[in-house]
Amino acid sequence: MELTQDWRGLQRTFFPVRKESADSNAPIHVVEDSGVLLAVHSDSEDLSSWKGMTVEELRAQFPQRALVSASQSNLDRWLVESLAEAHLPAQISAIRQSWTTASPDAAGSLSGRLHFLIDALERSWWSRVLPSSYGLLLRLEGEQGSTEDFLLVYRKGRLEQFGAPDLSFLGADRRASLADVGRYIGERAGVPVQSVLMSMDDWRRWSDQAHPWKEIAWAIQSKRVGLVPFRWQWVGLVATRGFIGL
Amino acid sequence: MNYWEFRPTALVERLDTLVQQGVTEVVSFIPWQVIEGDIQHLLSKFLHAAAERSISVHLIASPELGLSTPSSGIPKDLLARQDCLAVHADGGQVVSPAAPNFHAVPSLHAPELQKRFQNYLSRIDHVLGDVQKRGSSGVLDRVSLVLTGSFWKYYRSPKMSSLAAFGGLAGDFSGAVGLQLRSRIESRFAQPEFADPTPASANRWKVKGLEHVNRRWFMQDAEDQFRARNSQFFGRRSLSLPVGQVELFTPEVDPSLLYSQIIALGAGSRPGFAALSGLVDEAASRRAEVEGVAAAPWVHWTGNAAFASLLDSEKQFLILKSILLLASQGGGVLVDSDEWFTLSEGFRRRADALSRSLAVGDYRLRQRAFYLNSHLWSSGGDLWQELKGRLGSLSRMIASDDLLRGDEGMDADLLVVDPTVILTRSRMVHLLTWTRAGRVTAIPRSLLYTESARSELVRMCQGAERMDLHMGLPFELYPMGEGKLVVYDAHALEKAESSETGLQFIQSLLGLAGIKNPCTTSDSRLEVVGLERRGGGRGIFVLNPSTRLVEADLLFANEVRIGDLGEQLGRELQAGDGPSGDAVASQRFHLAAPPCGVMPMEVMDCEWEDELERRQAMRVMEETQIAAVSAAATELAGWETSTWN
Repeated sequence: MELTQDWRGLQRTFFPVRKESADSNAPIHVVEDSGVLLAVHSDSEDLSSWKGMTVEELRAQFPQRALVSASQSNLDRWLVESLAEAHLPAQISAIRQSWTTASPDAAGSLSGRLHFLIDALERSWWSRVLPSSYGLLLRLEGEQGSTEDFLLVYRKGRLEQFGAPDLSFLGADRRASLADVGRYIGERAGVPVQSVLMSMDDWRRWSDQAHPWKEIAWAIQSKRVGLVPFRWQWVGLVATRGFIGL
Repeated sequence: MNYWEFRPTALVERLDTLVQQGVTEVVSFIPWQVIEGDIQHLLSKFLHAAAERSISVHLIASPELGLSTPSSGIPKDLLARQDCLAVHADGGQVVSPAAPNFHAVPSLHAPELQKRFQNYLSRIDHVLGDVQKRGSSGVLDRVSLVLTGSFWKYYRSPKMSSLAAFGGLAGDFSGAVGLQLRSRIESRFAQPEFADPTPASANRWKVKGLEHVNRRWFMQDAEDQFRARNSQFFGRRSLSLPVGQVELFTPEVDPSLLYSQIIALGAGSRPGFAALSGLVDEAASRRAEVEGVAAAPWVHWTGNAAFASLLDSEKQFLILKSILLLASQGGGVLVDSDEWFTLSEGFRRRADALSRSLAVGDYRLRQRAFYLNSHLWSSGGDLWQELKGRLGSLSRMIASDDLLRGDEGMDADLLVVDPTVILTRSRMVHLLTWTRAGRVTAIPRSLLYTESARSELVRMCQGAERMDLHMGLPFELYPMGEGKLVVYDAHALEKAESSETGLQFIQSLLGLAGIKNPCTTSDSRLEVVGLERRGGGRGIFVLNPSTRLVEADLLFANEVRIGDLGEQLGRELQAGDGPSGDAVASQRFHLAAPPCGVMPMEVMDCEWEDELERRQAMRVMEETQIAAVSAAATELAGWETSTWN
């Protein structure tokens, strides 16, 4: 199993490039040292020219916008603590956790940005009911029959490996069968694998939303999204999140 | 191209694709941990596959940051040891903020790392030797090695560099440095020049008040030695592969972006594009050297950090800007192959045409002013900021006066010496000789002269008509051959409360040196890069790094005519409304620069070219005279003491 950590693939699949937000009241995130701004970031505009000015000056200029701030000394500490994590998604998650613990205001603007699937797998009650080790294979169907596979492998509740699986040992006909691919990967990785089939367009559209679960639940029911093997447990998780909002 | 990311079959497929797309050369890093554990002989397979396809390969044989492998390929066991980690001036760990993981940056001073690093170099040599011995014949014919400046430039505090990218004191402050610093200071100041006039004089150089000066010198010296040792390592080997020296800078892992990167990643939004653009300017404005020869400046855009999250228009802007500023100085830009092929074919064709044009020397960036600093990666202070602000890409920071001997040094008209530079006799002689050929040199009046340097200065200025002036700073002006020497008051500069002081002084130096910025804009958001064209004329590139349309006037020092350079470079680089009144000679043109646009134009400025030619002729004459006098002094005994010379 040559799958390791394909950051580029993860970025492409789960963190597509977003355009600047049109929301002129988007929160402003700052890093400050004794009131002096070291980093200023907003989703809606480039505020980097504010570096070197004071938090008070920024607040006076944007009184209607939420200012989510972290002190430089805290951020340095959280950063060093996060280095113990294995990879960037886990490190960012750890820093985000520390920041939201220190400043509850940050929770909405930082965690809301996590991809809906990662959010559900890692930060919701799903993590308590899913097995401690498992694989999730996404097969995204593009136009003209092209497909892209992306596999996430969780062990002991932590994302350990991610990337396109190596299927070079499978024949073309077996590669086309999601059941065969799931079995093959499961044997190689030593974890149960759940495969999900959907169109690339659906995936991209849902990835832009914070809570597309209801639509996904309907898509499973109408077979626009396929689960291989079909497990009621997964259907239940999606439906609960979609219809009850948990 | 990252050869270690591919399975052998996929590697072959990728190389075939590159060949189909017309690629003839690739650059690849050799990550430390990858080569140490290369049991699958991936490097060998890669070199064989590339040779079979007649692809030239440049292998970067130095550890670098931002590589697409865990911890940039730095061995885990080194990163696990606190005594092997670099510490910045504020006392924190130096951290590289790029995928696949944030990681600490090791100290190149740490003895354990130095030992392991020798193994890394030996391992590369061994693997390449093995490929040559056992591989197909000619497999290394198209392979060259590239050595870089490694981690040194990243040893900076994120706090200080957040406010000014290269602000404050750079360098490693880890425990490993303390002892080495003491020992190097002792050995340096034991040299006879520092013990003049009495042996006790050496102690004045070691006082606590000069610690920041000595630390800067030590950091630069350690980096120079590191580079020289690596160069010699491969120079001594029997493989005799061509070895190139470059200064590779990866803006995405720069400490100045650390905090913004964390926020952008945490909030799931795009990183700041303006800061990345600013770092290209920083990379282009510093010139490293190895054993007296300039290292070509290169910028690396990775596929696993901030660059990958930018919009295509922003990526294209950064690539074009990097090409313009760095390839015009003999350097270039490395772009991750995946990222490159996501950009439109039209853009790739235009960028390729521009790169080829610069690579063959059709256009070049001519330096007008140098700033000699004691450490290339530390702050240059107010004078450097003002010089850079006034001249932009026409100014360059250096940390060795050896670079004044090169082609760029011959072209320049002005040199400003930082107050933290220690002036020895040989350096003083070199600076004064350079000045005599019709140039202006500004040196600080400070305590950092050796006795023999001071005597040399007094001797050279003896009999010269001194003028005392005050423009921002008090300074003395001495005619020196065809040039002028300015001795400014470093103490007054230190005490100055306003940045106006430095600005006025730099303006007066530019006036003395006859340097005018040939082209500026009425809107400070726009940037201008002016390149000299071989055979006469200039290419002016107006860059708009903002995400909005900018309408502004282009202002020239003389009356000029403007044409469309885009046609010569294979159409415009980015659509936009070029200056109006094309065929009419004028000093002012109106233009509308599109967001992230790069607008090329050809400028005919006869007055400016005549002035340049006049200066060049004068300089050649003066330098020939200096060379003749020097040769006579060497060959004819007693010539120097005769009265009629």
